[in-house]
Amino acid sequence: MDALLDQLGLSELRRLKPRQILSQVLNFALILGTAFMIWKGLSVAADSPSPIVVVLSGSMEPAFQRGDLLFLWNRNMGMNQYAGPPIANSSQFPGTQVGEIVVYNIVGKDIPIVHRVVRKHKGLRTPFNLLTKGDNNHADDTELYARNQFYLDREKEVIGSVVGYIPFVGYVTILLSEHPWLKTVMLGIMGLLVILQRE
Amino acid sequence: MADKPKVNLNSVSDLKNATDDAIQPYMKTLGFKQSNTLTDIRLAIGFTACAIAAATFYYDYTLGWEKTKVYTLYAVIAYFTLNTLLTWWMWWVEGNKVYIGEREGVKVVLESHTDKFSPVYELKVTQTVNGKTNTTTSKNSFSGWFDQLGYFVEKPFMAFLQNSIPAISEPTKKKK
Repeated sequence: MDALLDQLGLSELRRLKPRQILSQVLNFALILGTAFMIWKGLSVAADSPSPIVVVLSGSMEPAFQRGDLLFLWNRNMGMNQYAGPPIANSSQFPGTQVGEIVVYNIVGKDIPIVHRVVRKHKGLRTPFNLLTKGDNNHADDTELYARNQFYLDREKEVIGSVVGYIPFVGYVTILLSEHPWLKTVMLGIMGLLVILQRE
Repeated sequence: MADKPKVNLNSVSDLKNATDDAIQPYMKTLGFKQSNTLTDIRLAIGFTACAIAAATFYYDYTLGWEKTKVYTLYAVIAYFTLNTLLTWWMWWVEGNKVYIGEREGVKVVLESHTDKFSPVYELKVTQTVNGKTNTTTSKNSFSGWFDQLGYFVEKPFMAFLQNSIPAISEPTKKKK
């Protein structure tokens, strides 16, 4: 057993005792935990289930290319939550405007779609109904919605409006989702490196 | 005698870690009982934070975003508070301490330190005998107990430790 460990270059492992092993495991767990909590913190700040998304299609060219990373903000639903008079136009939360770019999921499908708002109905006392269209598409999104659905519900289906972006960075995510085994490999390598190092 | 592993002589952190690891077994043979309280508290704080993260992940995964929004907010705040506490604990309370032990009323706290890229091992010994505390420092180059190939040689290191800790070097007063 000792000779095998030496051959593999893992002789460090032999000298580890339970508390040391726990400490190394804790290091790895804290890295994962902190990354996850930062993500959740962003989620809570933006009030969106997914505050950072990657553009998957070319339907918003030339504004966004495939692989761009988008930052979302979901605190602009523009609804008066109390049963009272509608909020004035000059209020701080005017709600989603026509011309804003929003990201939405169709109920039942998991892919986030990034398109521009071209029409808007209702709102203020009820959630906005939005009609969207990709800049690079000929027709509006009525074909993408579920059957008999002609408008998006701002509250239920839209996960935020785009407030910033970084080009190209998201390509890594696209790679990882098209080849899921990459995720396991990356995590495995990370785990090994952290546990074997003692800095 | 088991084959001692080879240490990379060019890495000061490897040398320091190997030396720190050697302190515990030797102190045990001298009759000192090690106190693991600091480590245990650090592990407790750390794993509590991880448990919070894991619970958040589980609830978010099973119940979805809308239902768990409020819990997630509290969990994020709690997690980062615990993390700050953990960092403070490790940096301020634990600091450089590598061994805390006790024998017959004599309490010993050993702290080790090496300057970056310097092959000198500095050992700070704080000992409390009958309520009186005093602190001594001693240093030695790593070449004192690592041979040319990188193997750890026990005898010179044991001698260095003995001379560094006044409480145990008294009965065998060596002039070094």
